[in-house]
Amino acid sequence: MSLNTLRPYLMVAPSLIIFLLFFIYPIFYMIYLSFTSWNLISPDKTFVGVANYVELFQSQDFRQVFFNTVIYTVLTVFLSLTVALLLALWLNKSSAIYGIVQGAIFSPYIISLVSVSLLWMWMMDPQYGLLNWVLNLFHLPPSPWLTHTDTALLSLVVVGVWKIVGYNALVFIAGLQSIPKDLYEAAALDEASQWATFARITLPMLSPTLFFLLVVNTIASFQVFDTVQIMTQGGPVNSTNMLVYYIYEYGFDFFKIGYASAAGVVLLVIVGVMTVFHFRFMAKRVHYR
Amino acid sequence: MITVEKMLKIVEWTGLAVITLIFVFPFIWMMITALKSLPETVVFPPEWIPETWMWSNFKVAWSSGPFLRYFFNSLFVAVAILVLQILTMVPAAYAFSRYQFPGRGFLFGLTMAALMIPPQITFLPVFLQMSEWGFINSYIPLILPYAASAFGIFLLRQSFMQVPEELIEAARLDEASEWRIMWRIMVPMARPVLVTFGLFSFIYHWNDYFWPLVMTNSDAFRTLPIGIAMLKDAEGGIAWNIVMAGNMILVIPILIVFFVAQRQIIRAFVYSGVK
Amino acid sequence: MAAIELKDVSKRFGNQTVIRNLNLWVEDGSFTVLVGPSGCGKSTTLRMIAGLEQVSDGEIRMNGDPINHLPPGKRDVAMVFQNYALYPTMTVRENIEFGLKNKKVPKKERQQLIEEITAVVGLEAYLDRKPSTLSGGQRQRVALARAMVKKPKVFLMDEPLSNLDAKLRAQMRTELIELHKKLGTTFIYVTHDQVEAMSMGDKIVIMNEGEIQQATEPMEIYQQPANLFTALFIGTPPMNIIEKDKIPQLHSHNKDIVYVGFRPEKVVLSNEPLEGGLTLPAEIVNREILGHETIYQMEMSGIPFKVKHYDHPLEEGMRLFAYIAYKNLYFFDREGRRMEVEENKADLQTVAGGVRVCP
Ligand SMILES: Nc1ncnc2c1ncn2[C@@H]1O[C@H](COP(=O)(O)OP(=O)(O)OP(=O)(O)O)[C@@H](O)[C@H]1O
Ligand SMILES: [Mg+2]
Repeated sequence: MSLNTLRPYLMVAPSLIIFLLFFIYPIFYMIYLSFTSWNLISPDKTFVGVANYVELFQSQDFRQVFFNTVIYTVLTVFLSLTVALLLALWLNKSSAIYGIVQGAIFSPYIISLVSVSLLWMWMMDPQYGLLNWVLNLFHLPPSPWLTHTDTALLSLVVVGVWKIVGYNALVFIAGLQSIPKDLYEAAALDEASQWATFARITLPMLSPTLFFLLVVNTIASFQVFDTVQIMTQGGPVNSTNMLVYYIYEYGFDFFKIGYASAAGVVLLVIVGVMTVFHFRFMAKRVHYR
Repeated sequence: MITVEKMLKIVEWTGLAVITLIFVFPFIWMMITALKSLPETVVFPPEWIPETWMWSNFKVAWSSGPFLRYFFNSLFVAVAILVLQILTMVPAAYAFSRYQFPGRGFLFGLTMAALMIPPQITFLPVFLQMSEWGFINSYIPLILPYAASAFGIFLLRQSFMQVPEELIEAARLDEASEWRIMWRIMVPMARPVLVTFGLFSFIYHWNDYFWPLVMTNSDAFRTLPIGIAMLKDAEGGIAWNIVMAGNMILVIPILIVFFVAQRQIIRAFVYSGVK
Repeated sequence: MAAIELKDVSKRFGNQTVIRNLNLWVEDGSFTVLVGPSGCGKSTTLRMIAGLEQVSDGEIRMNGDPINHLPPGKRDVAMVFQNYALYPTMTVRENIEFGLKNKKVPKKERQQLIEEITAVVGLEAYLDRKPSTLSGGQRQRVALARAMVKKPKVFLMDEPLSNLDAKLRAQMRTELIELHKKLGTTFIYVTHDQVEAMSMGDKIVIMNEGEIQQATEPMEIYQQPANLFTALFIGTPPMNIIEKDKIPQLHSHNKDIVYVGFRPEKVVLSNEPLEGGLTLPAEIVNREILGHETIYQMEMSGIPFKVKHYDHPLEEGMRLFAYIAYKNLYFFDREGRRMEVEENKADLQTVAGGVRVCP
């Protein structure tokens, strides 16, 4: 083979070796591990069939973890998208002041989740925290925030929304700005009401953006980890334990590699399904254009 | 005379102020706390202005662990990743955009698959692999898995496809090697995309907590986010003033970059996400 | 300096044959123009010479040596592209220098060459500008300078003037002709504009559907078209072509003649029949006054043809005799090949393009 035929393969090889080694192969390795029992220390991995999965689905803990993850995801995605859409409609103006506000709401997105978690942990301190002072200001009773099973998960949702809503709003604004202006001019000529213009033009034209954000946010929320690990460690009494943290705990604290891998496969399937959804939709959108 | 319009204007401005406060005040609160003395952090209602500005908190935070090491590790890892990513993605994007070769579709499909697989799924098997190879407690597990970026290849390929074929042909007639065409013709033309990607990659890896947490277990290779998060595990309860001082060390570089290059950063994250 | 030879060259894209058995000899130092309608394969031919496209069959030779296997950079050719293909991120100087650097020409020599070339094309003042800040004509010059600085054996140009406005195009045309004289290098120039071809080339290659129709000097193409295609391609308005059977006035015993042609500017209009040529009674149906010339749409019992004149305009509706000297008649066979029919070349003194109308 001449250099010319080999050349493109040599060009893509470094990247593809990395992808195969650290993204593709680990998936298969994890699937294999999920059928074994292994504690990291013993030299051999015993094949146990689907035992890990059986244990997983029978586990009360796992059921709760799964449930927590779903609740967290639904709430975070719903709240952050709704608030972001409202913010976008409000802030989609060109004068400088709106630019500043846009920058402000976006800033949490580029800050490390470590900082965000510590900061909110401090503000959510039940005794000396800023948030309870604010509640007090409005004559509301103080909240236990992260320290109570009723409020801990919701507290994480608040942090999740605060972190991502600015990003979502700016993506919405980008979407709004890509809607051709003449559509609005035509609607104005037809004397369409503001609500009709929103429902018949803005929302449909924004639906690809909305779908994109829905998928991206859902996938991201399903993998929440940093806030859990730093702020609650899954507690109190497992009320904020979620999938990735659960896998992490079983892998790194309890050394049940096979079991953790089985949970990993569950996460893989969920993310996989959402990704396929995403691609289906993208392919369709190409048709519409 | 206060007209309805004026009223609305006032309401809107108040609203804007409240929104801004919700997103910005936590950072201000972080700074205020970082300058308080320990007793001042445990009063309710909270004090707004510290009595004496405790600049020493930063020193305490910084010397409570090998923070110089953490800081260096963070910088080194983020920069090394970025350099390697650019070195690997330029040829890959060039091949995917400009060469016809058997298997191109399949290989690009693999790249897109890698784009879709998050580290939160692969961390356990990758960790096991790394420890089998004896790489834990080195920079390798922090850097190597990120040495190529599927996202970067995707972005750069789009940009390379915009370059007119004539330009490449002109360069070939000018006796330029493929290597030179890549770096002297294609890369300069894709500069905005590379800047965008660079900001994205650097901020992501500077901030990253999950991967270094999983892949390191000695101070020698831990990065700043891990060090900062460990501040709260100090004996005898959390000293929030110290934790917030540490937090500032992590946040300030990013906020400075954000102030300087706000537009590019927003574009990096927002528009590259939409496309 | 080099002569280029294409021997039985074919080019296929997939199963579509774009160039079929092309044989071409480009003389050393000539200004050869490839001309033909869009899609006829001019660019493909040029690109095969440059090495940007591989030949499917046949051989390309430079000074007798085959160059098929050589990559573009090693063929000692330079190319000027239609859209200039200047490197947008480099300054004018860097654009010109790029090829030299790749050839590892020492810095001092590079500087000297650049000075020399920029003086020729008049770009001294723009060396540190980016191409995007230059006008179309200036970009064109940069493209030329970039080609020239390599001192190639052959210049290849693919419609280099088509992006310029009419005035600038005329100016650049003259400049290119002068440049060719000064350098004495072989130029191969692609255009689909016959005026450009006629005015610039010392050899014209007319192509159609991947085949060469005729390759010779401009005047010969005009005077001795090889076939209907070249006859119709060169000249504005094109040659009038009429089926022989529709012209009862024409007596010939040659059964092979199917078409008769004559150029609009070779017709003499007169109000009485003239001897020694073909005389057709006709009426002016329409006229197009262009100032220095007038083009008449004529009709002879339902058969239209065109006449071009330089005298003051005649009225529409006039009935006249159109006279064409025998030597200005062309004859074509069924396949469109031109036939030499000596007997009709009776020598007659007429003033071509003149009018013999008594008012
Ligand atoms: N890369 C290619 N793949 C497939 N077909 C091609 C390719 N390049 C050219 N062709 C075809 O070859 C034929 C000749 O193309 P070419 O570009 O040589 O024409 P041209 O004479 O230069 O026309 P124009 O005056 O429009 O530039 C056309 O039918 C074109 O569609
Ligand atoms: Mg062409």
